[in-house]
Formats: sequence, C-alpha cells, structure tokens
Amino acid sequence: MKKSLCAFIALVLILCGASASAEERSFDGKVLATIEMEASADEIEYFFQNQLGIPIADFVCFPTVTECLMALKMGKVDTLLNMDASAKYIAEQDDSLYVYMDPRLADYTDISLSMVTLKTNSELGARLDEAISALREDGTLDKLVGSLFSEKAYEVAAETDAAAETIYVGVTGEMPPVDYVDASGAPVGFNVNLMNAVGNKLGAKIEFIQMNKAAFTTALASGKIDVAFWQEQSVSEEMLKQLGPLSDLIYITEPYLTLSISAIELK
Amino acid sequence: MLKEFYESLIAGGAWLNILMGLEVTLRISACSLLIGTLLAAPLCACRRAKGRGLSGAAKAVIAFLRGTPVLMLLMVFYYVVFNSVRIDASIIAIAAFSLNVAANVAEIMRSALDSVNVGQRDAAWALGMSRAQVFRYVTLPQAARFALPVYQSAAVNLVQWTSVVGYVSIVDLTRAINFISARTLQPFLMLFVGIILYLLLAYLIYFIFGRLGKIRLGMSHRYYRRNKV
Repeated sequence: MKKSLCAFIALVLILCGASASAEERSFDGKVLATIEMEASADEIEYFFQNQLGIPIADFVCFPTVTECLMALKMGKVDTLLNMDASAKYIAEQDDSLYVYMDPRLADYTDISLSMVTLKTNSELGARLDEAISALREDGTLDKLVGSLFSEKAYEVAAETDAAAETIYVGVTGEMPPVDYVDASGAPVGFNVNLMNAVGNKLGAKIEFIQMNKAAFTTALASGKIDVAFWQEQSVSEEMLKQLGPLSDLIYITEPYLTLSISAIELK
Repeated sequence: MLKEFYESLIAGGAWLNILMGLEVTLRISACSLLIGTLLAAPLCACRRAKGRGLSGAAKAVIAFLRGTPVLMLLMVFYYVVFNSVRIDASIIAIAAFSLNVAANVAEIMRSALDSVNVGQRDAAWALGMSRAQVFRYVTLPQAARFALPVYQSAAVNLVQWTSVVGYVSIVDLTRAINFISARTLQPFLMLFVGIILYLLLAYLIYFIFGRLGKIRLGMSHRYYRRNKV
C-alpha cells in the first residue's frame, strides 16, 4: 500500500513536472495590462483578438507602472506589457517575476522614445533634433543606452551656467529606469541624463518639472513646459492608422531610443 | 519585509523626502483652511444679506465654487490664470483650495447660523442687548457648537483633496510616496505607509478641534462682569 502510494505520488510529480516544462508561455486566455497610451484598452483588445488572432481574455490600462504591478501581484491581471528596460528593472527588484515574449506579437514589439514640443515652438523641436543627432555621433547616446542595460551608471551633469536660457522639461518620475526619482527626491534616469546632455549641447539650462502624467498635455499646451517625452508603440501606431492622424499641434522629434516590449508574469 | 522596509524608507534618506511631502501637504491644507475660513465669513454675510442682489451674487459664487471639482479649478488656476508667472506652485494651490474651502465653509456657517432659534435673538433684544452683543453672546456660541463637527470633517476632507496637487508639479505626500513605490517597486508597503501618515494628519486635526471645542464662547462670567447684568 505504502509502496503503491509512493509510486503514485512520484508519477503525479513527474507528470506535473513534465507538463510544466513542456508548457510554453503565451498570451492565450490571459488578462493583459499596460500603462495608458493613446489607444484605449478596448481598441488594443480588439487588435489582439482580431488582427493578431491572439485570444486574450481582456486588456486593461493603468496610469503608472505601480498600479500595473499591484494588479499583477494580486492576480487581477496575468501579464504586464512594458518596455524591456523597465521589465528588466522590475524583474531585478522582484525575483518572483518572469520576463518573456509571445512570438506572435513579434512584429509589433517596437517602442520608440522621442521628445515632443508644440508646433508653434518647432524651432526648439529642430534644435532638439540636431542635439540628438550630435549626441548620436559623438557616442554619448550609445553610452547612455548602454547604461540602461548594464550595472554601471553613466551620468551626465548639467554644465550650463545659470544665466543661459531655460528649457522646461516635464518628467513623471514614475517610469523607472527611464524616468524616476531618487531617494533624495531629485529626478534621475535615462531621460534626465539625456536632457542634461542635450542642454549642454544647446547651451541651455534644463529645468525639470515633476508632474502627473495626466497633466502633460495641458502643461505643454499652456507653455508651462517646453518639452515632454513621447513614446510610439508599433501596436498603437498600427491602430492609430485606423483611428486617424494625431493632433497636428505637436512636433515629435526623431526617436532617440528604440526599445522593444516585454511581457512580465509571475513565475 | 524588514529589508523592503529599509530599502523603501531608510536607504538614501527617503524618509526625509516623505517628511518634506508631509510638510507640503500640511502647509497647503493649513493655509487653505485659514484663508478659506477668513474668506468664508464675508461670503456668508453676503449670502445672508437682506438685499436680493448681494445675496444672489453670493449664492452664485458659492454654487460655482462648490460645484467645480477642485482639481479642475486648480488646473485652470495653474495653467490658465497664472500661466505666465513662474511662482511657487504651492501658492497657486493654496489660492485654489482656499476658494473651495471658502464656499464650503460659508455654507457651513450659514446653516449653523440659521439653526439658532429666532426666539432666542428676540429674547436677547428684549433684555436690551445690542445687535453685536446678541451675535457675540447668543447666536455665535450656539452656532459654533453646531458648526464645529462639520467644519472638522471639512478640514479632514481638505487634507485628502490636496493629494491632487501632483497635477500642478507639486511634490506632496502622495507624490513622494508614489515616487518611492515607482523606484523600489514596493507599492503595497508604500500604500500602507501613506494611509498611516494621512490617518496621523486626520488625528492631528481631531486633536486640534477637540481643544477648540473646549473654548467657551457662551455667556461667561466675563460677560456678566463687563456688562453688570
């Protein structure tokens, strides 16, 4: 009796182990979540189900990565889509998480980061474009991108004197490691270093204004900030083709960084 | 758990950041409550005035300020009205919250003053008190007793409403906590820290109002001595 019980338990364990290792993770039947973007959650869900043919259960959007992570940990959502640099940062902080990608989304994983100014201020936009290409040529941008995926930090300090013209830049502080706030309350991250480098190139003083992501459009339109950061995701871009063009009031610079989307799940 | 607590709150002086956020929340709330209450008194006087025009105008102002979400008012102030001036955003926040408080407290004052029985006022007049004396020694003490609990909950609400100032580039308690949870990715821990800190602020208000409630405004011995009744 004891022997047969042991054998049965062993068999069950082996079967479970085999099925677990054979199982490939995919988005099928899962609740996906991401940080709010231009396209609404329903439109993304429709895109997944009908254009990509991935039978996801639901798609939800949250304002920041913090809410996404809470929903993931409490089982409200199964999968979190985020840019790979953020996914890596999140997985480093928490070893109960697993990062992967469903191959069926492969054509739509690109996410490019750029800056945005008002069309009425397109002269600034052109200068930003010049500064970005100058930084790309002298290797500063490569060093910054390298530091996103390695341990060693590469920081750029502002060198412009206080009397120079000021460019006001909006930061959310809620998108590590691209844009976050350190323990002392100062804005840090890739975007901050990049803007400092841009400021040094342009001979302008960069002032960071921390505000809720939801207030960015208003802040930009009212001129409280001159520059905001912009993300273009190939997923939402594909959908925006159907939804119509973006507002013609904004000027979007050339992307300074192209990342790809990763999926994060509990192990 | 202890390690997470250390990383989120102690490492790099993050607690100092939370204290600074707490100070901002407290400063905006206290200043708005003070200025709002000072504005509410004349607003309430206008609202209760005999003249149709004055009373109607005050009514319209109160209805507008109470009906407007304070976040929208704040954003209009910051991005439209004070757009071209680069002053400290917390001053603009205090202005917006003060107006909201003024309208709410004016209504609290009005309902409290209306709650005092007219017969009492008539009786005091019959005793030969002046209008000012009737207000100071008969109407005000009773109205204050009626208004204090409502005023207290308005103050507690105000502290919680100030958590929207992140929309106008102010780093208050909520923002400071959100920043930490975004950096360390320990959102649950920071949620509880936030709840505890806001609770502490609420208890601070309860304590202050508890003390205020003990102040006697009624027909004290001072009145008898001064007026030789």
